[in-house]
Amino acid sequence: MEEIEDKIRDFILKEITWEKPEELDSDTQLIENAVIDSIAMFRLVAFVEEEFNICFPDEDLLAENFLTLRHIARYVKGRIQSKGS
Amino acid sequence: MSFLLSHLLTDAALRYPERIAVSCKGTTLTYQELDEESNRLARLLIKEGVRRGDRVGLLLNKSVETVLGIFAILKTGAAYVPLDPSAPARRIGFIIQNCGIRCLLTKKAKLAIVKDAFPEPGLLHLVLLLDEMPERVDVELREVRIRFRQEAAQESNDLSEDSAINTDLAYILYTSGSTGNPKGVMISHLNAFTFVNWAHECFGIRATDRLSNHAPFHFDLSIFDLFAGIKAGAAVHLVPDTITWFPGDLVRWIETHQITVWYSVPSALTLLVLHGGLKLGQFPHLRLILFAGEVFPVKHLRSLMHLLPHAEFCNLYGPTETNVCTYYYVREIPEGSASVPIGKACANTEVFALNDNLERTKPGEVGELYVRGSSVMKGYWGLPEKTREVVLDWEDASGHREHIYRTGDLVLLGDDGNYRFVGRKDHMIKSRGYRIELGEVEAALYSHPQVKEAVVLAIPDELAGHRLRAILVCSQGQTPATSDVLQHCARRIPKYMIPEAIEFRQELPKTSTGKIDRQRLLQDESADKAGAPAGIGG
Repeated sequence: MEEIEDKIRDFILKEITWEKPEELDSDTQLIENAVIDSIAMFRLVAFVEEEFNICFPDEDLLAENFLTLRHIARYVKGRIQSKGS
Repeated sequence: MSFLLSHLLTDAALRYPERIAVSCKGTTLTYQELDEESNRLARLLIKEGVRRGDRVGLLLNKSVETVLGIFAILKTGAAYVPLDPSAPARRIGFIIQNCGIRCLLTKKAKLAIVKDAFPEPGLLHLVLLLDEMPERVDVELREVRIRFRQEAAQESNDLSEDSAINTDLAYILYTSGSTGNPKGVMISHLNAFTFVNWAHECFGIRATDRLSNHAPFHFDLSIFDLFAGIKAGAAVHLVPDTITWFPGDLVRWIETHQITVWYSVPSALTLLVLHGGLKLGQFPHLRLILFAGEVFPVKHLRSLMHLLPHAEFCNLYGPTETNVCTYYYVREIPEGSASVPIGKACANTEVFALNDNLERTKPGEVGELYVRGSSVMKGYWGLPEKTREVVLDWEDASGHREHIYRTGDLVLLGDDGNYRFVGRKDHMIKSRGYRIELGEVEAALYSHPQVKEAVVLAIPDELAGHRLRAILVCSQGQTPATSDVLQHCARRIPKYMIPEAIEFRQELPKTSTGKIDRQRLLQDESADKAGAPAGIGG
């Protein structure tokens, strides 16, 4: 799970711009702190689909899956696991 | 008489005390509650020194407390200044200083931003926390008094007579400024009523309506949601900030709240069409969909209209400086249409287009759109020259003088009397409904120590309207990292203004007068695109 989170964190730090990147940790509120807006959300979705070889369907475009790094990683892990079963 | 925006609430509270006025994240306030609590809060503000004509800031996410705060401020006779809670602290600080905000309504969680916003708080001397039950406050703000909402509970519910009149300021909305700082659009009660009265009647807003409020309070779309809604005694449902751009959540939210009237920028509707999984006949309660702020891609509007045949669709047009001034009901869209008209003037507003010779245009002729009437703003705060550039003295045939507003929008008058938007005269663009002066983005780039020259290009984009690409020339041998430049921007301008791509060059093409040749750069850009698609990175 940590590895998933690390990869996502690295992507966000590299590809997305916002006011206080130095404060990013597992529990930073991404939407409230304007890290993720509508454009960033789709870039992130494209990234996780490619990087983790999963599918991110439209009905999962929910705030609860993007609240923090932990939330995104949890969702990704769930998708990876459901692929395997 | 109902001549101040606060009267809309007191009148509605008399007629519909028990109806829900505002709702957000499960919390609701009835009209009576909103009216009485805002009275008490207003009394507390007055006790703490807020006076008619003051500018009182609001730094809050969407919540019923935000609406409570807005009405409390209006009831003191002051003007409310909504601040974008996701803007960089520096920008928030600028606005607070710019219009002399002495009192700020916020919540505990935002105090750190307030502190970051400036080393010296300027005129700010009072912060009122609207949290329900805040404990102690950890952030220290020198020379600033901090007060709590619960102190208002001791106040009486009785407010003395208003001293404000309808030409006094109701609110100031800050919008992108081409020279690098945002400018405050000053709107009087009379200005606001001109729009609100029209909208309330034109769209038949009733007490049984359930209006959504998607737009943030610092955008003028919210004026319809709040004030046309409250005027009717309707229920105003605030879309929680977290889900604003999440289609899955929005669809569920609209259904749960059985929204009857929706108003937003087209980008939000496009998001629903493309990713909301909408089924034919979805949202059976939704009777009216209003949209404004940018061009709605025809293809997506058609899809939406097909999916929701029971709803009416109306395109609204108007800059912040006048609020909505024209409207157009979309019934069907003829094949091959590139866009939907902006329509005809709202009742009690006049619009006309003038060509380069300042003569009224004839059908088929392109001209700049002007607006006449009591919706025209009072001006830009502290910028009399900038105001005079756009609010002009107009003399009619009988020599009678009044103000008209030049929009900077180029329009075409059709034979059917409907106007169509053609383009801008200047470098203001829309991206996802946000107004962006390219000059403001360029100014942020220029303020970077290594940047010698900067130009920002707006690349047309089907979904976003425009995307921003910056081209920079830096001092010899001193090219900064892209992330460094972007970070520099993020501390100065809102996220939606930050360029998506940065390109570094040795030099930029110039026109014969020595200015950066934007046209040439844009031509090169579309030539490149036609060749090989370059990835937009950075």
